[in-house]
Amino acid sequence: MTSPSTTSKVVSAADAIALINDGDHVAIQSMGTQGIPMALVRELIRAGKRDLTITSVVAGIGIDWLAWKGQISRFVGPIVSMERFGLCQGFRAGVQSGQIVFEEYSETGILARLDAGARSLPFQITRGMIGTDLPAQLADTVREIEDPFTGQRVLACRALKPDVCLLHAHRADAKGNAQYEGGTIWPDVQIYPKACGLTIVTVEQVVSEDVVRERPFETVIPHFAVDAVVEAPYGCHPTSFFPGYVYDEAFHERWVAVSRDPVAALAMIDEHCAAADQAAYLEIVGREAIATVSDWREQA
Amino acid sequence: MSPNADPGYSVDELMVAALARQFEDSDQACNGAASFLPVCAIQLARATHAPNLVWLAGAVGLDARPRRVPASTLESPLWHRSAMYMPQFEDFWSYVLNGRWLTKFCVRGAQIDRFGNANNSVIGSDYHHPKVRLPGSAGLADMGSIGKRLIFWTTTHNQRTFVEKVDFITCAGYLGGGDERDRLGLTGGPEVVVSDLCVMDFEPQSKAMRLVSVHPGVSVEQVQAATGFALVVPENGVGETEPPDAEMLRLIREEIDPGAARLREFA
Repeated sequence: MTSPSTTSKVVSAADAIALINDGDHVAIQSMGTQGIPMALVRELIRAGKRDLTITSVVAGIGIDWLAWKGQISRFVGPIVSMERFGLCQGFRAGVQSGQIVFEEYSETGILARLDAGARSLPFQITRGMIGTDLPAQLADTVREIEDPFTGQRVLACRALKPDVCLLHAHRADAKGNAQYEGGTIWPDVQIYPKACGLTIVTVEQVVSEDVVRERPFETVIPHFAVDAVVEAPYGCHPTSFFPGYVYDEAFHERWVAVSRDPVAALAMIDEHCAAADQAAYLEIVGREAIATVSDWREQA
Repeated sequence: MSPNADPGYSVDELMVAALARQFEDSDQACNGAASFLPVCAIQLARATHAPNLVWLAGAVGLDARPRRVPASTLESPLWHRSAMYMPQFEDFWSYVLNGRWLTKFCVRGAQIDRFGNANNSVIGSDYHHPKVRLPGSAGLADMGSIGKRLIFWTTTHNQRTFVEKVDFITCAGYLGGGDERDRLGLTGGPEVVVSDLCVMDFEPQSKAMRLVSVHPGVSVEQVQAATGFALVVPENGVGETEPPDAEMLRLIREEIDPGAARLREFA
């Protein structure tokens, strides 16, 4: 994979996703119904990338769509759940049939692996998972070691450096300085750009460098760690992107209603992935749905 | 509940009150996904006996003041008017792992066994070809191993939830019982189980699940029949779970959860 060489890193979603190869390990920002860069997930589907390994902290509807399309072979992470909307049925069917491997870690376990990857350490340790049945399933990446000072047992979690990460931010300039309103709470945003070989960020808005310099405390990812910027307003829809918009409840409910049925599930995925760009996608979703997710403060 | 008499409260309200009693004024509490009863309980404790109980709403919002319990316990409406938004990688896990703070966690598993081990990973004996793939650990496999005091809750007290032995240990309880947990160097562990039928704890020597109190109108036999292993029943008898008083009911119904989001756990 090579980085775009122009001074402006602003590219189309298609050009950004073209940086990804079949078989890549892709870390995707995701916290259940929060903050999934769905514009890029839809582009992964449009591009038909195959044999992907996915890492997320709490994978949600995005991994379910990729699973239904048969594009993933492995999930490396702690949980796959759409929170109040329940299990991801396509992903679950894929694991139960043996088509998808679920390489399961605790949350500190996967974060330790990424932290080691970020800092070029061979491993990072955790006290999590001790006594559970997880380490026995993770012989290649989790080993018990002794604290050399006290002899206490801890688990060494092998460094993980995914090929690429997909993130969504509030704004970025053309150089790639990516800002989150009020900083960021999400663990994946804090660790992925440091651990992954390539960072692709969608943003609500591309802004000038002057706008970025007005609020440097909101720059979470420095430009040198960003390889591609894609403008995608409401780029996390149907998931939420705090504080701008909440998750689309009706959309998730429609997905839950069809997601056990291969024909209906693929029809819904294909309908929404048919849009050539984000503007076309928002036309499919409709202004009313976008207004509803934007007005969440009044409903809260 | 007895079918004959209306006790003036429902089982969800009884469970909220029972969970609220597990928190002390000096505690810090945090809630995870789809945790409507704990969210109600933490707020009830803060409004009654534990005004200084710290709450990290959705593991993000410090001492949040939501107008009501929203349809999701892991989304921004729950973080309303927080004193701080806690960054999860650098801050949240450091405060949790430190040991000084956030010493109690409410946890739930698809299966819970006699020794308080919980499973949220797979149903079936073949981990790689499971009968049912459950959502996975999230932080559960951490909380059982890092010295936390675990408060289990479940709204489905039956033989599918309470099993002799979990198919997979996602959350370390007392493992095989006795001192097995101690021998691994693990501190803390399961302390209380609040179900829709009763309250249970763990017998100090064997670490086997023990009946503490049955909810009003529920018999010991009924609890035992709904449990997939023999519960320890104390020789000096089993009490009755203390019902919520009028003020607690008012707080739950009018102040904390007027939209009755807590009933989502009984769907």
